[in-house]
Amino acid sequence: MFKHAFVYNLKTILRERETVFWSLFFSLLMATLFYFAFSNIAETVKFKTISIGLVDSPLLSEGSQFHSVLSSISDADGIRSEDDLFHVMTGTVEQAEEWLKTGRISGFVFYDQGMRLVVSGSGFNQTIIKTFLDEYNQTTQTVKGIIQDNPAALFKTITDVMNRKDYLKQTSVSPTGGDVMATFFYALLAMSCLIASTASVFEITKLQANLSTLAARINCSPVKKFKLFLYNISASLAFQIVVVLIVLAYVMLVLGIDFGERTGLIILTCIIGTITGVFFGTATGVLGKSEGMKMAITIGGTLFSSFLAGLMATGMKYFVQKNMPIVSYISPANLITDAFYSLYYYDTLNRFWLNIAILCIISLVFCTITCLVLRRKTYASI
Amino acid sequence: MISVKNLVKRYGDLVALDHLNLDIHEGEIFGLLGPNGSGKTTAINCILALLKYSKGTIQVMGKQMTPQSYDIKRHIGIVTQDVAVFEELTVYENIDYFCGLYITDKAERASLVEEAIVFTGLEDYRKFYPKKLSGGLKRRLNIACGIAHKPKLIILDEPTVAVDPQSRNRILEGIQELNAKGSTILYTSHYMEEVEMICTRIAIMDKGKIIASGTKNELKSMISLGEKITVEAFGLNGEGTAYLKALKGVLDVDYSDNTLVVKSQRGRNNLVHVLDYLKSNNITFNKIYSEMPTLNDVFLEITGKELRD
Repeated sequence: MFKHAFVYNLKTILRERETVFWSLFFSLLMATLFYFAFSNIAETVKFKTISIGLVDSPLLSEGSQFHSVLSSISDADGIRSEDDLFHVMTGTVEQAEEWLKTGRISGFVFYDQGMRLVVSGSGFNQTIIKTFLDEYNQTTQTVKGIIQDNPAALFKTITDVMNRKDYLKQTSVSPTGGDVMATFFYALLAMSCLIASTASVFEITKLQANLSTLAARINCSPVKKFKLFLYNISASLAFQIVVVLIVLAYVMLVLGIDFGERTGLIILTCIIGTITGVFFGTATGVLGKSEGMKMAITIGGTLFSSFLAGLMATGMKYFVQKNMPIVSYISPANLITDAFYSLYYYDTLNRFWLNIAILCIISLVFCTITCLVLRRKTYASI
Repeated sequence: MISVKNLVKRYGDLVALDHLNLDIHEGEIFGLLGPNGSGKTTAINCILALLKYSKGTIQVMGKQMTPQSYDIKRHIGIVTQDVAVFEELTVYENIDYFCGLYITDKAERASLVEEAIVFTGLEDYRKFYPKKLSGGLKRRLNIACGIAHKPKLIILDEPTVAVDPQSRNRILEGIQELNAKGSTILYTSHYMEEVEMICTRIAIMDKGKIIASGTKNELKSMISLGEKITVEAFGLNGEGTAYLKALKGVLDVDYSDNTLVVKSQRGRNNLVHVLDYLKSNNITFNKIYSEMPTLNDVFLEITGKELRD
């Protein structure tokens, strides 16, 4: 009986275009849109070696003081490295202007009664070049000043002038690195898990005789309602879990979003999140009467919960956590994203298991509501 | 097979079933006839333990019918008023799904599904989805889903609503065939011709009550009307209708739109007298019908309104 009902329910779900669209394609579409939208944002802040032009002159060319400083942070010495701040192209003024015009360089440096910088606009690269030149000029002027005013102090102070002390130290508290974009995808996956609730509403409609003639016919069969509920919901759950795992695989393997290395626990989070979504839908299904209202609750609830979890703005998740901590503990999307977050950033799993435990409790509450209402065997009206 | 005693069902102030009593015997085709809103579907939903009722008892197959009466439900087939099938499953899959709720053995089920397909004439539509079927074919699928498991008791709630005449005849013949094979049938309809054609016993419902029950002849014998003569006549005047009204045993005379209707008491045959009068008074007439009373006449005489009102 289980196999019979399970297989046919799965068939009905797979052939319901709306369910497949909202569950699978909507999430894939969103993931793709997020990827392109946020990868551009990431590109703008991602550092790349800056191409600059250097106009050939005795004060700037090889052997000069400026050239030796520039070589230490660029490939001006002929040695290319990933850590180079600048890629230097040496030539005449005309050549440099042509390179700037065609966008091959972000700016060029020449000497005319002092160090001059020519750029074609303002931006990240131009600011870096200018900062470098300013710092060079400032240091040069400082050293010159010391030589003129107090040559005896030069050897004492030169080390302080030349040294830059970095008061920040980079340390990693997570087993992985960090990925700003991942936060959006956590919320997206949370939404994929919870959107399963819409399909569950339909599953419940198939079981309540007061909601559909189909359900009335099914209720006349000699199969216990609770068993039918289990059969139907198993099929729905299986479908939704596969859908979320497809979305997860797409995000991780195709879009290349880094979720960390705890793949097993990531999958577990997806499964528990989907179970929560499915039972959220069944509880809404048994409590509501109008189909429109039920869909509004499930879709609205899913999107609102995902919004609080940072689907539309990453700052929202932190705002909720800081100002409305209770909401962050009862909002399923928040718990799902937090579980992903914990897996990614924390060495320990305490916070992860806390999130999973709360999700399980919420699922249990929704499931209990569903079962209690479904226990009602006869209806006041059909 | 079904015994309903003093069943009362209220929707707020509205009394949908008012001390309803029904006794349906094994092997019969029992017709529940009544206008829309008379309480037929409500009665069926109560019998099937889908609806709560305020008062009364319902027994099916000798046992109290409750939502947990799975041993009774196993032997019941239901054909709902609205087509209740999965739009996402094909004809074959739908029948197999519903049959599978009753029959777990796969081989047995395959044979039963095939039988139901042949029985309802859906052989050419096995792989069709319901949305591709005509209204009549959908109704046949609805029936196939309800009878595939060969139930002892089949409840059909207005199965021929919005069905073309060809499909309707096929459905009615099918119901008689199912009965001949041993199933007890409870058939509800507001089409008196159908009920008259296939039912062995009939109960007429109105406003949640059984107002009359028995065989069709028993029902007709309950009313005073015995014959209804309809003649297409031209130029009959008030004097003529008064004369006809005065004939022995005539209950009512109506003349409008060149149609003369003369109703006589049971046991009286006034056809000859009516025609004699028309001839002797040179009144031209064409078509003549003499009818026995219908169930509509029974309903009309008891309630004072037409069955289709």
